[in-house]
Amino acid sequence: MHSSLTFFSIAGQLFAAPTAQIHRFLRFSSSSLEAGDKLRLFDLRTWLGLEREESGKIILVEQQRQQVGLLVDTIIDLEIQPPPVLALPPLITAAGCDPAISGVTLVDDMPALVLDLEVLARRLDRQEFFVGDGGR
Amino acid sequence: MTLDSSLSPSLVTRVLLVRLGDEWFALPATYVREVVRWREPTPVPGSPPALLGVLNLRGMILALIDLRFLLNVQPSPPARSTRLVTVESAEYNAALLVDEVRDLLDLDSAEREAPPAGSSRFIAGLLPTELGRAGLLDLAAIFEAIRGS
Repeated sequence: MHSSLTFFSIAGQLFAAPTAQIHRFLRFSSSSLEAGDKLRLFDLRTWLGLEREESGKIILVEQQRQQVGLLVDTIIDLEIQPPPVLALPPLITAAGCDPAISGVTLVDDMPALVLDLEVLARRLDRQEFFVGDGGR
Repeated sequence: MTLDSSLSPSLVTRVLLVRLGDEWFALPATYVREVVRWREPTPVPGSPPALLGVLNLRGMILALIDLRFLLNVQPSPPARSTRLVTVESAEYNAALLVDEVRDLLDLDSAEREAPPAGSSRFIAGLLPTELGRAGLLDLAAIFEAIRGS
């Protein structure tokens, strides 16, 4: 039996992450950006080299006993019995792809990258901004 | 250092003739497994530009390499003739994007010419074909470049 996966999209590309790494989901809008109630937020669009969107969903993960938000476009699905997670091709790994990508799973025969959200969240020092509680 | 010495093209006689842009290239057939139609890859963040992403071929996940990037050939959008050539070496499996697959040819390796000075390091030699000279692709050098990029 495979661990549950949560699927989400960023700029039309499908990704997955272990549901066990996810604390909860929040709604996000740019109007909720304040310096008040601080939530460390990592924009996965920025990670992909894309412009930030005005709205989206926040995936809350726990990182060193603190909650960290990962901003995505849409939460697609949560699968209790997802397809297996396959290893990345050795050539991709040898070429030095992002270590936050832990594998691949297939959705309608298309590969969806499986992300290690904890690895991603550890990078907040470089790409951090704050969001108020308007999105909660 | 050569990544995979078993890929030496010195004894190649059978090649797959492929087109990249306006130029013809020869892939040692020993390493060719399949030719399939173009399908959209899934991009992988952090990969070098020559790696377009990964794709699923009947449950096997393959890296897709854009040879045009490595050979300084002007890329063009996928067309009806675009094909993906899957190759397999001792170390890596991958799919290579080409603009067209023409034919499997048996060529006399004695007619192989050395690559001209200043030509791409991914060209192991030139082979005469009915379409003119085709650059013999060095798969080991291609994999090594991807790995070291």
